[in-house]
Amino acid sequence: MFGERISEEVFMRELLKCSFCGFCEWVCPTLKAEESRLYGPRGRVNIIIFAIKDGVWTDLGLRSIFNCLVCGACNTQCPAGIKISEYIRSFRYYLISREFRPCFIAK
Amino acid sequence: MNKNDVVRDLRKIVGSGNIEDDELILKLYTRSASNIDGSAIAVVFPRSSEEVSNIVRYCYKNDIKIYPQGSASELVGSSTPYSDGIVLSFEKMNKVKEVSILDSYVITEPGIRLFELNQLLAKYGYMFPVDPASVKSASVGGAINNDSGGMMGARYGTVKNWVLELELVIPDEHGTILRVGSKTMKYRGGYDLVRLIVGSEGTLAITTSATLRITPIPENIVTIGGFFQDMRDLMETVIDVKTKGIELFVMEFIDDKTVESACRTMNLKIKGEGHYLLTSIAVAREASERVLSTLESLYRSHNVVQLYKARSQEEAEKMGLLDIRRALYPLAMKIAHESRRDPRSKMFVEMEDISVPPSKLIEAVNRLRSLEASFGIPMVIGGHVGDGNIHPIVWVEETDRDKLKTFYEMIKEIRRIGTELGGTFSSEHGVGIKKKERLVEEFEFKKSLKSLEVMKEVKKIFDPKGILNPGKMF
Ligand SMILES: Cc1cc2nc3c(=O)[nH]c(=O)nc-3n(C[C@H](O)[C@H](O)[C@H](O)COP(=O)(O)OP(=O)(O)OC[C@H]3O[C@@H](n4cnc5c(N)ncnc54)[C@H](O)[C@@H]3O)c2cc1C
Ligand code: SF4
Ligand code: SF4
Repeated sequence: MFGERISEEVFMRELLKCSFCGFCEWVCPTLKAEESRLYGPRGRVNIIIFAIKDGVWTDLGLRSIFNCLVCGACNTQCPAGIKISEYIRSFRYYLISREFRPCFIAK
Repeated sequence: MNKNDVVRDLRKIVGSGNIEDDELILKLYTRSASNIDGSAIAVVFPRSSEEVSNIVRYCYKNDIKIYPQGSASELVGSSTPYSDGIVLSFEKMNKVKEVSILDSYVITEPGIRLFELNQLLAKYGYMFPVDPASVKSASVGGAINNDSGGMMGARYGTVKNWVLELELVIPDEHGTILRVGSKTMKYRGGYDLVRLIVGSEGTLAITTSATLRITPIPENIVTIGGFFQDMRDLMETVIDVKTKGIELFVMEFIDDKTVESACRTMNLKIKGEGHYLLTSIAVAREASERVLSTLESLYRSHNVVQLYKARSQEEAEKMGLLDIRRALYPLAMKIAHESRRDPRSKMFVEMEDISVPPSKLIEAVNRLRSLEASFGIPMVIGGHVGDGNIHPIVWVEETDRDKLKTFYEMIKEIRRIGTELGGTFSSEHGVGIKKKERLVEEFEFKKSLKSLEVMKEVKKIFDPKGILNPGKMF
């Protein structure tokens, strides 16, 4: 599934499991460097949600998604079992294939 | 005031890298684990107490509300901002300033996470002994303002026992910096403003620095975990252990549904059926066997079915004796998501936070179970049973409109149990937005509504214009 384009529904089905607990952040190298939630796994998971569920997308979102190292350190920390780095990677493919304009799926 | 002017003015105080008003960032910093989304003019990242003071002075003058925030892991909406104000994030004020082993304290900025603080202290053989399940995200500032507790609460209590001294900025016209408490164990200089701030949910003052008491990591910890078919047997074991006068380190439980999910989905070294009770005791190494055998015979006298023993903390961790309990909330989330019908809808998972005196535990659990049956909403329970703190967790799907009303009625009843049995609806998670109504009801029940008036007067003294985290608690 990962490494190819996945649908908005699949992103939502998995990422909406995020409870915003923040357990994943302390291991994240880019969050340590930038000292901002935007550049950590919780931030990345939620900006994908904001893009697809709420239709909110800005250049900073792009920067956050593309400066992830996809190191996977966050995956081991997530109590909801979200494979965070894999979804970030897939979202990059998704963005490229949509010319960097995510699709807003209204409910 | 115009939003752009506010951002421009505050940028002059904190510098351009330390203020954001990008739409995506605003959404990210106005959300929390409470499931309530807010909004804000900007997110400001101060780097020093002086900057905080300057921000406060500016906001006071221009009637801009201030919403302090640590890791936003709170569960009651206490960090939720509104569009009339700024989020003050302590993410960049995260430095440890001093560790003193001789004087048993650490001085730190508020933004550091508890887990990272303890990683540092472990190098000295010391710890800050408050370990909420959210220890990997919870910040010092958030834990202080929420008066957090955790698994070691049975022995060490909550944050209020571990704060010696605070540096605060109060929301007056000068952004005055206060220093309250002292570095000593004993301090009787007037009213105890330190403990007034602890648990005040960021409504009275902004914490910019804290001197925290620290304690040596115990020489050895023995642990016993056992599965019981009958919840009554488990609770009687708790009562028996407590009445024997054994000094607890950790005493925690989870119910059979959570155990079933844990054994099915987690990679555990232990297996069992029924309800799970975990007890740890801090001991001198030589006393390990004796204490373990006392615990074992107490567990056995209450019909434990499977029993696991660990002679050290490392062994307990290797066996997963603690992990199964730590996973209470995540497991509840998993069970909740397994029942989700619409992939695009969120599950509302509410972790309640009642406490009862331990003598009332059996009654509390029976009442909780009968609520589950009468409301028809699924529930799992677990918690810090050693100090009488139970976390019932219930859930409903965002889009299940019919059930939502029943769901919130059931939550009200859960909270009532704590109050009616001589305890409380709010043990360690706070009041925030979600539990304001219950705060009034609890004081009504105690025939003490005047207490609430006193609290509101206190708020006015600290925050005459009502600009600091308004809309919370009252
Ligand atoms: C999965 C999970 C498990 C949890 N388990 C526990 C538990 O076992 N025990 C427990 O006690 N809690 C628990 N919590 C709740 C929460 O994580 C803790 O209360 C935590 O200490 C909050 O810290 P924070 O940094 O996230 O604070 P935030 O959520 O950011 O803020 C909490 C409150 O403090 C205020 N605040 C934050 N920083 C400052 C500051 N510098 N000055 C003034 N006010 C400030 C905020 O305005 C808010 O009112 C849990 C939460 C989750 C998601
Ligand atoms: S994969 Fe990305 S988000 Fe996860 S820890 Fe690594 S850098 Fe951070
Ligand atoms: S650990 Fe998982 S559930 Fe928690 S914030 Fe990170 S992605 Fe969300």
